[in-house]
Amino acid sequence: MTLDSTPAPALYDFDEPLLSDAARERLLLGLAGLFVTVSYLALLLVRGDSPFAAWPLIVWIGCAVSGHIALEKRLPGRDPFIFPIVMLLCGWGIALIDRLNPPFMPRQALWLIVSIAAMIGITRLPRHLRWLSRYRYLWLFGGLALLMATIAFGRNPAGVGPRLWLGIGEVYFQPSELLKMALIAFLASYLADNRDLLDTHGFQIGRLRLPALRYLGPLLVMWSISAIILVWQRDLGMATLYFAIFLAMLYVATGRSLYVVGGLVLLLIGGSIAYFGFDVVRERVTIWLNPWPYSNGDSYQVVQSLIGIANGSVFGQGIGQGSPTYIPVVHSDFVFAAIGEEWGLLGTLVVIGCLAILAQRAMRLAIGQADPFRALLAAGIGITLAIQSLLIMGGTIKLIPLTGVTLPFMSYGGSSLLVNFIMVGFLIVVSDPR
Amino acid sequence: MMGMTRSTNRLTAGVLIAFLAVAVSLTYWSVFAADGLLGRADNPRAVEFEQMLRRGAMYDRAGKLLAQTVDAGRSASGKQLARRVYPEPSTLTVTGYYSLTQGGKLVHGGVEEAFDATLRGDDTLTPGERIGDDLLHTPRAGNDVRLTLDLSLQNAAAGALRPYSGAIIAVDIPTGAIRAMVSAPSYDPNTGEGNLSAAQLLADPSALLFNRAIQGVYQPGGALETVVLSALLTDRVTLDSPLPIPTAPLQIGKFILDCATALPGTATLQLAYADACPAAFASAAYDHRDSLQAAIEAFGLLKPPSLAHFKTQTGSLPLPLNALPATHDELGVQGVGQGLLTVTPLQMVAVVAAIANHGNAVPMTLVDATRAPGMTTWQPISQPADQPAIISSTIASSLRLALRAAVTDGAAHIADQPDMTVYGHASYALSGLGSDPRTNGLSWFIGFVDTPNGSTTAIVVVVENTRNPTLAAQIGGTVLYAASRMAK
Repeated sequence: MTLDSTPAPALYDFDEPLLSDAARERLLLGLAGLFVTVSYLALLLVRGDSPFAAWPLIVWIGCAVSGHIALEKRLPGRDPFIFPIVMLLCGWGIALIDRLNPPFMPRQALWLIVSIAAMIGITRLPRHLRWLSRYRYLWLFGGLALLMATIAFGRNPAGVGPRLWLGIGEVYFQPSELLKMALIAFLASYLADNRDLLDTHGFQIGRLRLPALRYLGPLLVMWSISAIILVWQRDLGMATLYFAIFLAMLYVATGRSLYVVGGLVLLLIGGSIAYFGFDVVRERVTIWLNPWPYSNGDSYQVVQSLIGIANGSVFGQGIGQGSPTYIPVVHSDFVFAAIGEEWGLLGTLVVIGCLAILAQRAMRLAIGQADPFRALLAAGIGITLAIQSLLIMGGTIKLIPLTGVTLPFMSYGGSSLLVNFIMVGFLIVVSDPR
Repeated sequence: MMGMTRSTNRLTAGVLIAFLAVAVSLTYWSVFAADGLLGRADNPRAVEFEQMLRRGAMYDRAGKLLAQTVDAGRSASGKQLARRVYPEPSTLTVTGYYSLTQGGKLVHGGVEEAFDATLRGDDTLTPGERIGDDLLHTPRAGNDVRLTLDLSLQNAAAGALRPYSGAIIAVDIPTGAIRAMVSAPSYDPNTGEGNLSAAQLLADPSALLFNRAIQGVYQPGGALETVVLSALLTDRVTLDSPLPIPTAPLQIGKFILDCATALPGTATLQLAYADACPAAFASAAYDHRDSLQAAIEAFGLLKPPSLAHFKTQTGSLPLPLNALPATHDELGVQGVGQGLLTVTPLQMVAVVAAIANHGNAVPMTLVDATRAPGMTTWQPISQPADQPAIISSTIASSLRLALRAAVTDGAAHIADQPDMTVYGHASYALSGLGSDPRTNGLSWFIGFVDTPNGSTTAIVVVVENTRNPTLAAQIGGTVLYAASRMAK
């Protein structure tokens, strides 16, 4: 009797995923591309434009393809969800800006190219990121220097309003966006090195254990940056965002609720002082509490935003078929309201879902890191994207007072898009375990 | 790292809860609070949506255009807009007025208001079609509406009343089709007056958009004599009954009521009616109080007259006559139409229409057909056919005689026309607070003419701020003449 020498059939490996990460990313990019393409074609149909007007779609496709190829070459083990999500959001944003304010669209498309290039550039730098961690004070003081420069030489492209931009010719850049990245990098590095000292080296007041001043000092410097921005630049949005990032990262690093509570108390005190000291804060709070009596004045923007969202109902009016242009500055601050009007509740829920997944993926990456710097960097980026999104979405729907920050990847704003993609680049680097 | 894991997880949970709160808030605004938001006056989308609507046109009975929607450029968000034009300003109080500005929508009066859903196309869409149109943003067109109005007669009546304030209604008997309805002063949106905003129009002290014909409430004065006469005839008083001192003036407060024209020393009830002498009717109210109350109710003067699809106004009699003190003075004032009873021109034309229709009520209509967009066939609107008897045909015949006598021998003689048999009664009423007898009153003419095509046209004319029955009769005669000629 001889043994059957036919090899046994291979058993199905249930642990092996159906799709590889690269294939998964390609599939998701394909779905994103399908959505962006259909939206763009619908816009062309409504406007009666020629097919050549869809050239931004080609730009987007080129960015998606080149980004995917570059990432696959350099970081094959990366998270496959992050890049498709941000490409969906920025492609949607390009179609939106073309619909809401066509003259701004070519510039946004150009910034998309620059941003993708920057993201790819980040991934080509040393992946250990020690260069980011080591020179934290360079990033901090560089960011502060930009902030001072803005206070001294800042301009507004519109000619009126807060002077938050630095310009060279017709090209404007918002330094507060870069400062955001510098802040995250500094905090991630500082907290990674000193979080234990913050916890163990301090003094006791009653039942409260406070950190030593020499360790808390730099953090207080960061906190005062928020105050400077609010006082000098009247930029309520950025001031709130910086303080929230600072507080959140401090909590992640130390796990101490004391810092959160203390921070919120400081925020309340600062907010109260600002309410009585600055017209812009008082106005924003008044509008938030009761916008209806001022619907033809100060709260026109918020009221029209809510009306636009109501007009969209569940399924939306369709791209190009609503009336979101009744909302002032809709292509920038109130792009979320435009989504609500033309894509409806379903569209806005999709946007919320994408941003929530993005934040959750970043936080999940943070948990999986052995290196505390990389963990805090990922957490900081996730927190930043989440808080910035929540600030503008909440302000648009009167859930919280309105602040003038952009909706990540979707609002018009080259500086914002560039810095967000740089952050995404760092996130993708962190996500690759190799 | 365990500590960081815990804090990171908590922070993640907090962030996700915050996103959930945003989602819940969004659901509230886009679903539950949507109707309230969209109905706000400062919602420019509502105005824009209305302006995208191709509201149906209005035509007169001969197909002449009275109102239509034309293109008006593009909105701030690029949508095609429309505006309403009224090529025949004399018909504005009949058509009503529709305008859209950023301040809001104004749909005021007339057919625009009564047939708003039809003109918008709302009442012909099934729920499924409405959802489909909303989803696909199909431009909506409303239905056209055909009025019973005769534009030629309307213009003739408007011209006859110019430059006075007042109202004219002309009704076809027995169909009840309103052939002319004039209210003055009115508003011409095609001239420089077209720059008035909706708010200015509504606030204008001349009440430019107010339809006096169906909404104006007036003191009937001598016009009530027809109703009083009907009551007397019901109580078997005859037209040739002699009257003592028929020309006696009547004092109402500090004002004196006289006959519209002079009378010989003795006269009959018929002649007193023809010359609108108040004394006979003052005493009739005292002697025939119950019959007068019954006649007032039978002729429908205490309820809004029926005009299919329209809201009409009624005058009032706050207290029935038998609840008033039974004195000559108190009831005499009621009998001459200077008491508590007020009436509208539409109510008075219903009175004279019933007389012309041999005592039977005439159900009046202003719109008789609609037409779907793109179609050529008109669909008739069902009309009330009920013509209950108000007075007996015998009494109606007697009233006819009296009305004829008022034209041949009385205050309405100027209404008489060659080759026509005009029936009518001219009178006046004290009205207003001024002491100038030339302006503290208004003048009435009620009458009808048998037209060559076998029908009859009944009219009411009321002229404000003048105590000149001859003027009202002259206007009435002109309109009846025009009606008769147009009926050939």
